[in-house]
Formats: sequence, C-alpha cells, structure tokens
Amino acid sequence: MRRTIKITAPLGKGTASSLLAGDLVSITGTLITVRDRAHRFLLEAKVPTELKDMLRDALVYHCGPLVRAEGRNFSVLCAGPTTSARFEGYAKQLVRRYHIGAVMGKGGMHHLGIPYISAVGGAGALLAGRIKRVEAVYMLKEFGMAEAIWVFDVEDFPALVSADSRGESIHKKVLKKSTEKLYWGGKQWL
Amino acid sequence: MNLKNAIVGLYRLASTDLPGDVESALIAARKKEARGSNARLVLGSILENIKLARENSVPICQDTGLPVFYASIPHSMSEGKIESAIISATKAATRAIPLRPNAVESISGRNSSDNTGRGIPEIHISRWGRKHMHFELLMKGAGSENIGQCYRLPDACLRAERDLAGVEKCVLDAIVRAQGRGCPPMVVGVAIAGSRSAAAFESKRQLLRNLREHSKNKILAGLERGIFSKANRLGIGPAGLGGKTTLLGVKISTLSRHPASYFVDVSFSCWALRRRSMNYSKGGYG
Repeated sequence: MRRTIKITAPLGKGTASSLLAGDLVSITGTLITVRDRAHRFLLEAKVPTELKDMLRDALVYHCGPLVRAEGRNFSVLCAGPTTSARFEGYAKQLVRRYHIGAVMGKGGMHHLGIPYISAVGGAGALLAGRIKRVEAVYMLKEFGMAEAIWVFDVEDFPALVSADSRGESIHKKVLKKSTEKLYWGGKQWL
Repeated sequence: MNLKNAIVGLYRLASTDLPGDVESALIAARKKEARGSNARLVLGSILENIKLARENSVPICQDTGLPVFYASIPHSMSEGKIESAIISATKAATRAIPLRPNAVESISGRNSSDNTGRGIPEIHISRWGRKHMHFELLMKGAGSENIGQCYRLPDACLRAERDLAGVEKCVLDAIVRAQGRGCPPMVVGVAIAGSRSAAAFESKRQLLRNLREHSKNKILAGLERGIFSKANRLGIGPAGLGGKTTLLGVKISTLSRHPASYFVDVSFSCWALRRRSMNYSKGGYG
C-alpha cells in the first residue's frame, strides 16, 4: 500500500530516515535550487553565511526555472526538475559540507545517504503552481536565470521518493531489469 | 502579419501547445498502465501539465530548449532576410512568452539573456519551387539532447554488424543507457549515413515526423515497429520509474554512405516534443 506523506522543508528531525522508496510526498516549506554552476560555487567559492545556514537540512532542488521578472518582483512560470546525474561528481561533497536534508531532481543519483526525490520531468507549469513565493535569489546576475540559486516557498509540492536513505532505489531496480532484459536475457536482445 | 511576428507566434505555439499526435500517444499510454502505478501517476501529471500550459499559454517545460529552424523558401528570397527575421523573433519571443534564456557563450560562460548567440538559433534553409515559405521549429531541450549517441558499425561491444539487426542493437543500447534521464516516454530519431555530421542532422530531423506516420520504405517501417515494441518491453517507463511505455515512437531514415563508414546516429526527444510548423507568404500566413 503506497504511502502519501506530507513533509516540511527544511526536513524535520527523523524525516529523512523515515522516507521509503515509493512514498509519495507533498512538500510544504522551502526549496533551494542548485544546478551546474551553483554546485561548483558552493564547493569552491566564498558562500554567504545566510545561504550556508539555509542549506542545513534543506531540500535541494535540481532545477533551472523559467521566471518572469518585473524589477525584483519574480513570478515562477515553470519549474520542473533537471537531470541530477550531471552533479554526480559534486553531490556527496555538497551533502557532507552543508548537511543537506534531501535532494530532488529527475533520473536518480548514486546513493547519497539521504533521500532522492523525483519530481515529474517536464511538468514545469504544474509544479510552478505550487510555488507561492520567491523568497530570495543568489548569483542571478553572474549565472543567469537557469543557473542562479533560487529560494522558493512552496505548498503541497508533489513528488515521489525514488531512492531512500538506506539505499533502496527504484532507479537501481529499473536499471537492473532493463539491462538484464537487453544483455543477459534468456534470449539475447529480447 | 510580418514574418518576425509570425515566427514569434510559432515560438508561442511550439512552446506552450503540445502537438495532437504526441498528446494522443500519451493518453493511450496512460490507459495501458496499472492504477496506482508510478507510471500512471507520472503520465497523469504530464497530461495535466499539458492542459495547464495550453490553457494559460505558458511553456510546457521550463527548459524551452535551443531553437532549431528548418525553412524552405522560394528561389527568389534572400536568406539573410529570413535569418534576420528569425533572430529578431527569437529575442522578442524570449521577452514575450517568455522563454528561458539558454544561449551561453562557451568560453566566458556569459548568458546572452535573449536566446541568441553564435550558432543559436540553429537555422537550416533550403530552396524549393513553391511561391510560399515553410518553417518547422523544433525547440530541443538539453535533457533529451544529452542522451543522444553515435555508433560506428561494426561495434564489437554490442556485437552489432552492418545490418538492420546491428542498427536495432545500437538504438536499444542508447535507450538502456539513457534510463530516465531524457524524460521518457521518448521519441527516437535514427539515421544511417556516411559521416557523423550527416547522420546527426538526419536523425534529429526524424523527430519532425508525425508519430502516426510510418516510413514509406517497408523495410524501415518494419525496423521502426520492431524497435518500438522491444524498447517498450524494457520496462524503463515514464520518468524511468518503471512501466510499459518507454517510447512513443521510432522514426528511421537512411542516407547513402562511403563503403568504409557506417554511422548510426540516435537522437532523442522527451515526451514534450515541441515541434510546430507554419506556411508563410507575404500578406498572410497559415
């Protein structure tokens, strides 16, 4: 029986370890977007203290949103996930340095010791509807819209836990099954 | 309506309104999945998103991609004028729709903020004997672009020879390597050719074909059907979270080649296949 769980972000004590692969989650709280350039920035540059504090127990979202800007008034039009595999080389360091609570993106990642949450790829307009407010943005001028670090206030943002903190992973299962079907099946090539 | 404005309209249609053949395929795919399954949930969200984007005229996906234009123009027309109109329209569409600024200068890392840059938008112009112009626009996201592959046959690792079975092995290999990273269910374009550049151009062009249309060449049509059915038995499913539909379509083309070369290029589109076309003649468009 699939569980549907309301969670807050930053993650409360015990939340990360209680989430299981297959759980549906409805997220209320703060998402912080971290993409290609932001990963290197957070590991190599001088990071503002308020951002460092925000990242503790945070739900990091791999996303380059489409945002309409009227001066400093931002409205998010589209905010689906980007492919997390691009950040494989940085993820473990980022999680350890900042004590990240969970990571959200699409396509999965290798085991990080924290939950990996899948948002539906391409459902940008739908997901943007759950973003109530842009709380802050860092490095917008330097990195541009897609690559900046956005801080979103969200309510009932829907997603699926596709890998949990113990290492149980839907991505691993699908990879194993599809690879076996193709390369080692009783009949070669299906 | 002037050409620039007509192209802005084409950008809006392509980015916000998913073509009917793709939406129908997604609706059919959802019906095949078990109630309560990951696949059915994902497809449900996708279909809801498609409706929302169309109703509110907002882009379907935040990655509005890199624009690729294929234009057919009369012999008398100036290519320079067409390119200017496309570039102006790109800047205007980026502001108006809006589109996400996706053109980054490769050495400095500077985002141009208006979706133009060296080689962007990608514009291919060819001539024809008709009096009007025809434009196809493909807005190509990076998720699907990054999982494309090029194979040289024979391939020892895949045990693939220079035959249709070998081509099939390449395509299935590319799909398994991609897993959920290109937002399945996907559309695949395949081309066999004598150079990497020719194969890549031709395979991406296959993504323009209507899903309901199969190759007029009986052999290629058979290969398209065969790959389609095998790929969907891999179980990768929507978003790579498992399911019965990994592909919405397979489109294959062949070009002639050098005897010593046999390139198989595999291009992917995610389910959000943002491709639209328009005819244009001075004094109106359709």
